[in-house]
Amino acid sequence: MSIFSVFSRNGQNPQDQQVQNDSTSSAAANSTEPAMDSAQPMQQLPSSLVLDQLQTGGVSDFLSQVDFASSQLNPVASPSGIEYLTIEDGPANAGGVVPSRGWSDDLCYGTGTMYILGLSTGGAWGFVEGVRSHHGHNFKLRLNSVLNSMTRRGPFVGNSLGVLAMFYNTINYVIGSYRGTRDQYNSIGAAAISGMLFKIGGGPRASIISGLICSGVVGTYHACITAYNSHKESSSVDIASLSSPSEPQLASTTSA
Amino acid sequence: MRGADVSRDPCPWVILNDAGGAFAMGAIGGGTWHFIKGARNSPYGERFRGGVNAMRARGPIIGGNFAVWGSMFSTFECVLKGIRQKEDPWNSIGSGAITGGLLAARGGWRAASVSAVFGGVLLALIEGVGIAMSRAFAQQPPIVAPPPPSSQ
Repeated sequence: MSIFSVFSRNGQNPQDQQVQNDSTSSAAANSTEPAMDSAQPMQQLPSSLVLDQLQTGGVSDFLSQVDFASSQLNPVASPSGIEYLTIEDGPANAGGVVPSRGWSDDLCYGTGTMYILGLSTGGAWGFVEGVRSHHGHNFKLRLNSVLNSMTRRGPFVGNSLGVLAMFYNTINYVIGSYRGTRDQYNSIGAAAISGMLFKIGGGPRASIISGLICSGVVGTYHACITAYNSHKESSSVDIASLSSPSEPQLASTTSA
Repeated sequence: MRGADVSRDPCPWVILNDAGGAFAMGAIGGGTWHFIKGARNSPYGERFRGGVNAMRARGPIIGGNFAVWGSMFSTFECVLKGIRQKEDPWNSIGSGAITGGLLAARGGWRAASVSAVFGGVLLALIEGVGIAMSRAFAQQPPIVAPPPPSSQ
């Protein structure tokens, strides 16, 4: 039963008060306990009586009964006050544009981004190649040659990058869950393994070279991210040191 | 927006998600399919090698075809959401039909309309199964206790 219920409002009867305290403190709020109501017969309150009580009582005696202290509102609540829910243990990684909900989101977004990136890059490559080629003398033949080279290069680059990203994200998740941490060594190792897997049909030498290239790309990316973050931190420290002298003045004026 | 689905990501980004999910599904499923097919078509002693070769040759292509379908579908679904300003199963049915029609556009009007109807029916089946599943597994609403008896 809520405190704000009309039924718990009239506290003239001590037994009523008992009922109210019990119902606010126990979880079984609306249970019709026979021990409490054995003296009086069970009876539904008519709506006209509720209206009467509402009109005669007013708000003031209702508010006088309500104590907004959280320790009395809910005995389960901690003595320090209200606990707020935090979203820190919700999304695994909130750094990107859309917070990731776990490895499946990482896999889908990584693969999709790399596929569409590869499709557009390959399409642009094929477009340039088709424009530069000298096939065809009228417009229709030329357009056909450009379209042919675009549809040859675009899906090839897109499929290759998509498969690479799929390998990379899966292996990165497996390594991360095996080691228990998420850091840049995971992703460099995952890039090496996925590059080697990607070129496994071309012999050991091509496979190792491809793994080295992939891990080099990912390592460069992580180095750039780290450098950018440290640069941003240092610049923000500079701004903070520039704007910090106002704080002691404010403190001294307020204390004096 | 009416009836927004909070389990999916906001609209321009969900295209990447759908493309990636479709690519992974197609690449893994198509790779398995062509591994088995290539292994069955190879002579004894070359079964594994033939399967791996077929998987490497055909798996990414099927993944790419799936990804094109998924990204076009998701794009048209976002467009329909933006135009209609509400989210209901008709969005995905319509975008399935548009995607199917557009992808078969090279085959002429007849092939395009057959493919559009096929895409719409397929998405309607998927949506119907999803609605039926969510109804079957939906939680019952909590039982509301009766008002307490008065002790007059």
